[in-house]
Amino acid sequence: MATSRVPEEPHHEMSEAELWGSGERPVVPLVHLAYDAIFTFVPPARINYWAGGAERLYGWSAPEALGKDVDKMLNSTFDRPRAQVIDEVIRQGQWAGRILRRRKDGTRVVIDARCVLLRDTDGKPSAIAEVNRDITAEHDALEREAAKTTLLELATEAIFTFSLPESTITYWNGGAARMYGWSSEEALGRQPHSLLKTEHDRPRLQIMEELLQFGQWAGTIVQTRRDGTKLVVDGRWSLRLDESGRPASVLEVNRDMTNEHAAEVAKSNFLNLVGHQLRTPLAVIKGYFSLIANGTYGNLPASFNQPVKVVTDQLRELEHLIESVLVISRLGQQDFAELQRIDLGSEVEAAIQRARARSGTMPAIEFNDPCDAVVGDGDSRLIGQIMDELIDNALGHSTSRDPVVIWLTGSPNPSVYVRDQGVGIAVESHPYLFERFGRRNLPQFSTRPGLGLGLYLCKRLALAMGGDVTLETSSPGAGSTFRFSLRASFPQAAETSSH
Amino acid sequence: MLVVDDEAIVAEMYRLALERAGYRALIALDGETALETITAARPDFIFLDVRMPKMSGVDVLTRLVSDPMTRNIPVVMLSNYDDPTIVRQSLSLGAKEYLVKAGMMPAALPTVVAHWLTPPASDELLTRIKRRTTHPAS
Repeated sequence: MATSRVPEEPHHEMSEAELWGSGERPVVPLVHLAYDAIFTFVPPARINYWAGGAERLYGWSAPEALGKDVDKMLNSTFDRPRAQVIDEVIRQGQWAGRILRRRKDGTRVVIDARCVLLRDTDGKPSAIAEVNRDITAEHDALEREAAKTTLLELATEAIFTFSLPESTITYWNGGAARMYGWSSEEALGRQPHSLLKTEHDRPRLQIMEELLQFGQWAGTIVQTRRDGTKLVVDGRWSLRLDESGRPASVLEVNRDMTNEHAAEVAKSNFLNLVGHQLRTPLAVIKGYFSLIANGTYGNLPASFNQPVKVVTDQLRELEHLIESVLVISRLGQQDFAELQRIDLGSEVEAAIQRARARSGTMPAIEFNDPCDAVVGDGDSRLIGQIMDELIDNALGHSTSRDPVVIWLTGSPNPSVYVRDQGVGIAVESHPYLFERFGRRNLPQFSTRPGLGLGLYLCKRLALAMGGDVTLETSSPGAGSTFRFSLRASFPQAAETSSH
Repeated sequence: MLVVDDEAIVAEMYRLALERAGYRALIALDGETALETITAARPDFIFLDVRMPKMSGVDVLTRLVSDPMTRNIPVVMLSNYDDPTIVRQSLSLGAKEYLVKAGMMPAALPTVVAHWLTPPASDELLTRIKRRTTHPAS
């Protein structure tokens, strides 16, 4: 700007008229080309020059802006009074700072502003020039980053990252410091699994393989604080890749579940005790009743046949309930599932045989066994319980003569499908299917005995093996198809039961 | 044969079922009495409860397998407590099976005896009565 210069000395004692001279618009044609918004104003804020960059940034044209109060027009918010800014410009010849403003369309804009004092040819202050740069994107990004950092520090979870392949800690939040007792300075550069003495329920190599394959891993681990006390931790890990797609680091988010785990153990112990205590009278009642029924104490009249059947059925139901309670009580135990390579076809065959033995008849079950073996990681005992439940469930809900159909697939996971062609389940009931005692929300099942633990247990047992039980399809009158999936076999799964 | 169970009504129930099938069954209501009875009567088969006063079933089994005079007597554990650790320990000590009482009908016990005393003839029948509550020795 040829007509302006920054003063070397402040001018405090001049009157406003002396100070600001004629207030004429300066001649500054090149500034129209600048990307930054450039304008001038006569204090306190009357605009007397408005360049193209200002039009583009704020949306106000020069005719609209000239003569207006810039701070009213742009709804300016400073970190100090505007008068103080002007005073600083007069005293020091310039000011730089951040201003929040609104465009003509009302949108918010964060401005990096610089003001300089302009003087006329007589050396009198003529106006203040303001150069504005839009830093909204950078400002907001920094705000978001700061918010993230604050959140990470405030989080109750322990959050940290470790690099690959060195496996050294590269970030350690406040939650980790509070949870483990190691400060960030102490933890950075250390190996997390030796620092925290992490114990998994399976070999660490297997977890890393899962992490590399799926990009994430979640499970319960046991870790040790700095003071030596043990923590039961609900851990979620996520793999981070570098620009070339190679594994670069792992993000761990760990929640302390020690108290919840202790409560769960206490509840499980209680259920376990109750279940075992109930078994004794059940064995006695069932045993003596069977001796009565089979004539050990003398032949029964034919009129007893029906009541004997009713009591026998109810005893079986009671036994099923007690066994379910016992299974629930053991769900959290570390050795609950002993995984090994399982041929699903053989398990299904055995389950069908058991179903036929239980019913005493030949229920219609059609099994489509594929030519190739379907193999997954599982616990044979738990798989048997799941299959028994799914088959009984399918037989119990079938109302037609159409058979229960069972088939296997090996991809993407080793799976068994069980389809009945019975009453089906209304869509609104689907969310309750796998809840504990979920049957109370399934009115169409109210006529069948049971408490609604069966499918809940199926799912929990499957999850304990790393698999799942899901409802694939179901609608009223069209039957239901359940899917029981296992995790695909890892090469070393056969020897992974303990660690 | 011998039924060892600290619940007299349970032991009596099993004795009744075994005698109805033609076996002669003795009863012992605790571990120490069981060892005395085994020494005196030399049973050819033993059903052994686990949780008992004075001496547990696992302790009795340990004594039996360490004595050359008794180590070949087939022992089937019959308990309502099927903690996996105890099951594994019993089977590794030499128990033939670990059965859960609540899952066993008394009438099935003679079939179990027949299986272990004359294995080939009873395999199919035993398979039919075995349910999820059984833990066969591997």
